[in-house]
This record gives sequence, C-alpha cells and structure tokens, in this order.
Amino acid sequence: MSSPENDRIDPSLCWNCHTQLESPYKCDSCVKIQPWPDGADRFAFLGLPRRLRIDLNDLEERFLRLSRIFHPDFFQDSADQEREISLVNAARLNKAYNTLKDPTQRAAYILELELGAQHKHTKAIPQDLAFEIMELQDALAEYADQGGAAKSTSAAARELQRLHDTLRQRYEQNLNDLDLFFAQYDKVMDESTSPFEPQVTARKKEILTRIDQTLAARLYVRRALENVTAALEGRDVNQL
Amino acid sequence: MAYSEKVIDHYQNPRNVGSMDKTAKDVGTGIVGAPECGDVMKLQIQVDEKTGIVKDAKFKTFGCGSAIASSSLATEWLRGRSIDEALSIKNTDIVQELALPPVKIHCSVLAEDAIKAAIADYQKKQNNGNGSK
Repeated sequence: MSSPENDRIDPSLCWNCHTQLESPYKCDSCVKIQPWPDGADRFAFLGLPRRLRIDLNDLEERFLRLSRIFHPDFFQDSADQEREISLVNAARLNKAYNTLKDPTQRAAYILELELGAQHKHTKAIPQDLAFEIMELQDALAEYADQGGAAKSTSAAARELQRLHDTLRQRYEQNLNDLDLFFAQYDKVMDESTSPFEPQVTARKKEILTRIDQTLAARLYVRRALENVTAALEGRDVNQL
Repeated sequence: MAYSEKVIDHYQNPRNVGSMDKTAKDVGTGIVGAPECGDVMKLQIQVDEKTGIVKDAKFKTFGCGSAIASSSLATEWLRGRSIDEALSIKNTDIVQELALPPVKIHCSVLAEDAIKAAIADYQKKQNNGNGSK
C-alpha cells in the first residue's frame, strides 16, 4: 500500500520535500504535516518524557495544540496524502491522549512499553483482598437469599453496604498506591544515566511488578463493586 | 462452549463444600482470587499433625462452573494425601481430569494456587505455633 507513512524511508526527513525535519509534526520548509508512526511512543507524541506523574492541565494543552495541527477539518481540500496523514494522526493523537490522561491506562501502557505487549500480567491477588471479596460474595449470596432489593433495610443489605464502602475505600487507596509507584518509577528514570545499567533495571522491574499487582487488584475490586452496586439496585448479579 | 460431563457433575453435586475454623492450628486456609474473571476461591485442609496426612478438605468458590468443579475436584484429591503428595497436584492434572477447554485453564490454575496457599498457611502455623498453643 502506498502512503506517506509507508513510503518514507528516513523518518527524520520530510516525506514530501525530503528536508531535514526540525519538528516531528510539521515540515518547516514545505509546511506539510508529518505522519506519526503507528506504535510509536505515545508519551513522545505529546512531547513528554516517559514519566508516570503527569500534569493533566499541561497534557490537555499539548493535546489541544497538536489537535489544531492535525485536525482533519483543516485538510478537507488538501491532497489525498496530506488528508490521510491528518486523519491517521488525529486518531492516533486521540488514542495517545486518552491513554495518558487516565492513570490506570497510563500505567498499563508503561507496562506494555517496558515489558512488551506479550508480557504475562500478574494474577496474584493479596490474601487480605481475596478474603474481603470472599466476605462480600457471602454477603451477596445472603442478600439474594433474602429476596434482594425488596428488603433494602435488612441486615443483609446493611452488611452488603458496609462491605461495599470498605471496598470503595480500598479502590481509592489503590489509586494512591499507584501514584506512589509512579513517583518511584519517575525517580529511577530521572536518575538513570544509562537505561541498561543492570541495577537500575532490577529496581525498575521491581517497581513495574508492583504497578502490575496494583492494577490487577484494582480490576478485581472494580468488578466486585460493580456486582454489589448491581445487587443493591436490584439488577441481576452475574455470579456464574 | 459446552462443559464436560465431569464439570457438570461437580457443579451440580459439589463435593466437600463448606468451611472450617481457620484459626485452628491443624487447618490451613488458602483464599485466592482471579482479577480477570472476578472469581474467588477458598480452600481449606485439615491435617493430621502426627502423620501429616490431609484428613479433610473443604472449599467454597464463587465463580463459573469450571472454577467450582476445579476446586471441588481438588478437595477430593487432597483427602488422604500427604503434604508432599498434595503439593504435587498440578493444574494440568485438573485440566485433564475435567477436560477443561483452553479458556478455562485459568480456573485450574486458581485451584492449584489455592492448594499451595492452604498448605503454606498450614505450614506457617505449624512453624510459628511451637509451644504457643
């Protein structure tokens, strides 16, 4: 397939006039926008270093600035090639922005970047969390046995609500934990002179594993909370 | 996806459902969860402290049919085994016995993890509890 992205031999040169590019987004010489490669670092797309703590206002400003460069509306009357770049870049920009603005998605993305898409995620859940979920499922079963939402003031409903609130707190605490690991990751990145220094890699791996575990717990808690909310609202609970 | 007859049998007639006193010194409790499907599984063993043989095993699982069948089968297999024999139970044995399809292999992994967690809990109690109880 012929497209500016595929035809480009040297990405440091403009696809159109082959001038050395000063900016990866747009050629200073012929003013053509440049294709942002598929799968390229989404942090880099927004002009950010690979760090997990992000200023969301700054991120939004960057997103809007780049949106104005690539927005397909501006290329309605342009040649096919440039119109295509604008469409593809705008879609990739949206994807990059959405990934980075959400801490959970951002963390999952760092794991993918650092450990590869094929990386096997941890499935280990801390004992105390598994225990809480067990209690919650017991309470859910009890609640369902007693006719569910019809008795919303029953002891079973109150117990369910209590466990729900505990898990809700855990869900919020989980985000704080994540932020702590973000800070640790950023520190390692800031201090690293060579990314291949073995000690740094070991420390980094340790932090990435923590992030992986925190995300797994987060997903687990979220599912449980959804189930409880559904039960308390009298919707069908998907237990099987 | 159709469940195998063995899965359905364990699902409809689960063996050894229940709970034991998890503070008892001769009881080991393993609770494991699977974030991707939301399942949670509790497996408990009661061990004869003299012979080291699993006297009784109980489970309680909230999850799909395969998860229930995997843990139900695990309790059947645990009874009468020594700790070492119990540790040798592999998730692949469960997969084979229940004819689990690839998408349900994680249920058998969960059961194996639960066995290991229960044994670890029992051993921890034995090592810590010397003379204290």
